[in-house]
Amino acid sequence: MLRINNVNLNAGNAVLLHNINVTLELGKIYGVLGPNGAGKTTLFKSILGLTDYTGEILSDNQPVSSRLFGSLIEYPAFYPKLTAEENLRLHARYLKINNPDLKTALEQVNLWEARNKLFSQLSLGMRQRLGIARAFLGNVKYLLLDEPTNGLDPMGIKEIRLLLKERLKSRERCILVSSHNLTEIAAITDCLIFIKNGRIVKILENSYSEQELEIIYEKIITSREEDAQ
Amino acid sequence: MIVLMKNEFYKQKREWSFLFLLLLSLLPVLTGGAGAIFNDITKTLSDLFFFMNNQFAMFFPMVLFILVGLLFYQEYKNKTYINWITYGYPKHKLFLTKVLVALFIGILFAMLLLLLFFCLIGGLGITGKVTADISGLLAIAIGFLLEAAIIIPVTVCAGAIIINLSRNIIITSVTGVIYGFVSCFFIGSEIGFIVPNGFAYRVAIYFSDQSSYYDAPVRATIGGSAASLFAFIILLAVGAGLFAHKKKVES
Repeated sequence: MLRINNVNLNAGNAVLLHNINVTLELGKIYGVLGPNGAGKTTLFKSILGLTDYTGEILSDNQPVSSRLFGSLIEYPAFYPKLTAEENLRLHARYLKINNPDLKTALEQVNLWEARNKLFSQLSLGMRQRLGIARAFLGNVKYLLLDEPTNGLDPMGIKEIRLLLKERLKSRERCILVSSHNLTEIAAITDCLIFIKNGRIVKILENSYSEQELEIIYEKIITSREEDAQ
Repeated sequence: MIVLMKNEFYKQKREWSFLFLLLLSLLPVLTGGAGAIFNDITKTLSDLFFFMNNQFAMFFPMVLFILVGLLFYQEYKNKTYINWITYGYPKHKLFLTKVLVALFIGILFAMLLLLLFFCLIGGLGITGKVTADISGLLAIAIGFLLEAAIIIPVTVCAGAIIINLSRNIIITSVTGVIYGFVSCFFIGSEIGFIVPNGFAYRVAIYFSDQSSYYDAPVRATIGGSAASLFAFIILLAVGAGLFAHKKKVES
């Protein structure tokens, strides 16, 4: 279980995160939804220890270590002159994973055939999938995927959705996916966390129809924070 | 640390820019060699070393700035920086790893330069254009390796600071050029030993021409050694401190 308690982050006069309190359970996929600049990426970065936040982030009541997380933040960043497989191998070496099962990892994202291609030769969809393969390599407890379908065509988006729901979701893992696209995220997640201006404004079980969610989202986006809460 | 260093070398697979840098660092011998071969003049070993070492002192700092710059810039350019710092290793250790790799490659480049210089001397010796004995070559090797041992650590640390502050390889390269030229201004000065690169140059030349050393040799040797060590420690600490400093939001 991941507990985020009273997390705040300011940069100068700007409030980047304000009083974030949320508990995330294993076995679920959480969608972090909000407009561009709402604080989704900053929240993910804070969870990974990449910001100078105040408050606490605990995993099973222990301070978190970045090694518990697999992540894809902002874009799939790799070394362009290494192949897909070499990039994953390098990742495994950093994590000190002995005999990493790169074949399974690449097969899960349908990249085994392209394993010997240089990263620079991969399409955007392939890069995103490689980013996801890296994120779950080493059987991590928490998976943070920041806009994983960014720039993908409808088929690519569908592939990512199936990958998350059918292959990566497990009882031992908690997945957080951020997006500014309601339709896309509603199709994947069990629970929705709405974020706006660095604040969590609503947390919902994903048991609504798409139309109902659209109305809720619109209301949140257009309302003042106090109203939404 | 060894795992981290191995990973750094692994990342350099197919990175041909390092070969270009090697070529750049061998230029002093290549140009000196071409001059000696095509100009039908007999030269002494000291003359040839003097020519090569002048260019080395001026251009090698630039090579080192680009070298360490490329190692760090790789993370910024490819946007792998965030992944790299979230593997759970202390940031100062990551910084130190890149610096050590740059030191290793820098020393390798300097040794290859010396080896190429000796090959040139050998070739010129066969054609009778230069005469050299073992003791002369040994003296040059000791002087040059001492020079490299002073220049490389200090310059690599300075370059590491610039690349991490600017995150820009052009700015780092240009600073390297300026650093090399400015260092050369202090070579001739009697108090120039306080600048590590100026001191290193005079140390190297001392082994082939003792008359070119400082007028107050003891003061210069002690002062130069202390200044070089001090500069290295300060630059390393500043570089590691800047890099490890936790930013509001890492990007």
